[in-house]
Amino acid sequence: MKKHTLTFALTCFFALALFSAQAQDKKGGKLLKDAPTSKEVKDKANDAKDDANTMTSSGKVIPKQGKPIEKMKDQKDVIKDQQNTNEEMEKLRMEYAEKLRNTKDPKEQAKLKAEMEARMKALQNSGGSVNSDDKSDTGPVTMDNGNSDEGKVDTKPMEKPKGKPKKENPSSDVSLKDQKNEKVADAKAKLNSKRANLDNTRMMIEKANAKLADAKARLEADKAAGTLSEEQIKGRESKISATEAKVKRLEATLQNAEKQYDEKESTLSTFTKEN
Amino acid sequence: MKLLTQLFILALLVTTVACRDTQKEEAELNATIEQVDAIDAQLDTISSDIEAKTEDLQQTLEELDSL
Repeated sequence: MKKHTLTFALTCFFALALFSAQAQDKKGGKLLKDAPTSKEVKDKANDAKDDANTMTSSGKVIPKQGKPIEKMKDQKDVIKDQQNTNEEMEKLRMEYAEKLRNTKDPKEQAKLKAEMEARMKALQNSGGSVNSDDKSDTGPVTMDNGNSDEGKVDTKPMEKPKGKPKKENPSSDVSLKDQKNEKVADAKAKLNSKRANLDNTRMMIEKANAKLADAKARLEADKAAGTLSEEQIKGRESKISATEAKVKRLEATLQNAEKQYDEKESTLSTFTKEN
Repeated sequence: MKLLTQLFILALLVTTVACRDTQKEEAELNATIEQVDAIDAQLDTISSDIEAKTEDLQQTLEELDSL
């Protein structure tokens, strides 16, 4: 009986695992279709960078309008932290104020003051510094810690936003496929534009041939008129032949390019078919 | 107990095969991406070659016009 139950349970487990694997495959396919292009991914990354830039070096956060809810949540977290720090500092200040009132010895008072300042600094470092702008954001905090940072360049490293970094795609395979598809599409677009440029080059070759014919006709006319010396004739002929050679070379390059473009296109289309 | 071991081995095999498939697919994709990059670079080379030759020809044609 026990054995049968165990077998049944294991069969159920494997059936469930298979089912979930299939469902994930389908989801993956769907994701591939809906996957954002690398441009979108880049835009998102830029947005994230912009968000990071809104945090100043002092850890202050400038909330932006029209941002996604998650980003706003992060900002709220940072603001909450700052509020907590402010509250703690206020408590500390009150505590030391009482101690100072109770002590009459000036040396002891100076010691207490120094201790208070040190603790406040430690609090600021752990929870982000507080300046006048933050006070206005976080409510009525009337504390004066005697440690004004205005005008100073804060060299502390920027506080990283809390929470795990969001993944663009759950599956790296999907993102790779997406990357491949986009690269193939880009290459195809490039190929088409290069083909269009080949047409321009062909037109140029035709013009060059016309100019060559014109130059040859002019040379023959000048020869017939006898206005040119032999050196001049040789110079012109050499220039004409050099231009002809260049035109032929360009034509050969053009034909070779066409062939190569055809090959590349077929390769790219096989990549597209593989999907 | 025997059955459990058998099933465990079966699951291990299935997992191994699935992982190998994924790795293979990833490697193929990477290879394809590299090929596409190579094609992209070749396209640039071809077009730059044509451009250089075209510019050269244009200069020669200008000289020919000035004759």
